[in-house]
Amino acid sequence: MSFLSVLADSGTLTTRVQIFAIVGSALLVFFVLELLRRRRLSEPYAILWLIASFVLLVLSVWDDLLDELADLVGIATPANALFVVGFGFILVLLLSFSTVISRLTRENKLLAQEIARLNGERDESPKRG
Amino acid sequence: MTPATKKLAMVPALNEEGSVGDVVSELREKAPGFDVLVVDDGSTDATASHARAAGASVLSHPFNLGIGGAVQSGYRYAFLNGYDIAVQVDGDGQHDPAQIATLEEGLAKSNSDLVWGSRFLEDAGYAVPRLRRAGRVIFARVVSAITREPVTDPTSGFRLANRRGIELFARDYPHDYPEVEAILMAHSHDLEISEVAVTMRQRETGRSSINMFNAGYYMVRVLLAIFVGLFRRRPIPPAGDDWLAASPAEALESARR
Repeated sequence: MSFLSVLADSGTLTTRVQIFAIVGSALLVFFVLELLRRRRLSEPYAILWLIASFVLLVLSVWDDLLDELADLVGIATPANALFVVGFGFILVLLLSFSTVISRLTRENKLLAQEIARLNGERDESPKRG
Repeated sequence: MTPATKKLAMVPALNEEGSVGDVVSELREKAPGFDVLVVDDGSTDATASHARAAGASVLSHPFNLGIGGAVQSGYRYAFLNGYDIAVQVDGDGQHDPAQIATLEEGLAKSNSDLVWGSRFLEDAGYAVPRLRRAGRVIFARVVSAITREPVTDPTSGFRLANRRGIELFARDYPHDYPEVEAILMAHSHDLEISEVAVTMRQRETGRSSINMFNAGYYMVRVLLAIFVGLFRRRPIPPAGDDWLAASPAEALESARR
């Protein structure tokens, strides 16, 4: 219920854990946006990271929600629920990287084949000059 | 005699074998000063051969790069081959080649570097699906606010650029949903931009790249890109990526700008 319950501490996260989680996930949000701004990260990947870090941030700020989530899934310690959510995101991100790497491998192979074909055409064509 | 202005019409096409031939023929007929380039973005049908048969030059990507990559291939071609004017025309026949002249007039009259055709500058009562309309209105407001120009159709793909515009987009062009971002990019590089009233036709074949399913994702992506773009001074790509620069000196210069 209480959205900014950092000091009110209505949930069962201890204040210290909560501050740590908030600072950590806020830093992650900021870092992702900064990478995006510097064009070191492109939007599709940034969106995945932003969703992950934003959800973690919301859950650590709004720890009542985290309590409910922990209760729902049957985790005794809400802090562990935060771990589980984070772990879930890591799995999704890794899986998406695997699909991206697969795509890049396929495209890379195609590029090599195209270059080989073009080289072949160039070498076989009658020499000029 | 001064050398003639070199003009290029670029048609990005993905699996448009049903319409690309007609688009090319019509361009050659109604926009006679323009060379026609079709960028075949990894089509699995006969798009490339139909385009070639109709008399266009064709760049075929070995795989699909997305609309941004296709359009940028066109701008690179225009830049490297010394074109002074380049116009983007969709491969599905919704842009009327006869109206390229309208865009050219608009470019000259407003002294702009980039102009695009807007269907909505004059109310012609287009039936646009509600979702697309909502997206367009939001983007139009955001782009108008950032550029301080009245913009009504920032997602229009019917656009014409001079040498400055060609050079910028050859160096750097947004990836997946590029139209809105490209306008803001031009603006942030101090290029003059303006909108020109045109009429468009219904699509002949093919479907919009924006359907119900990915419309929400599209909005989020573009709004995120716009938001982050606001915090960049100038969205120049890092010098290392810039293989257009022929010499180290040029690369250095482009990194400094």
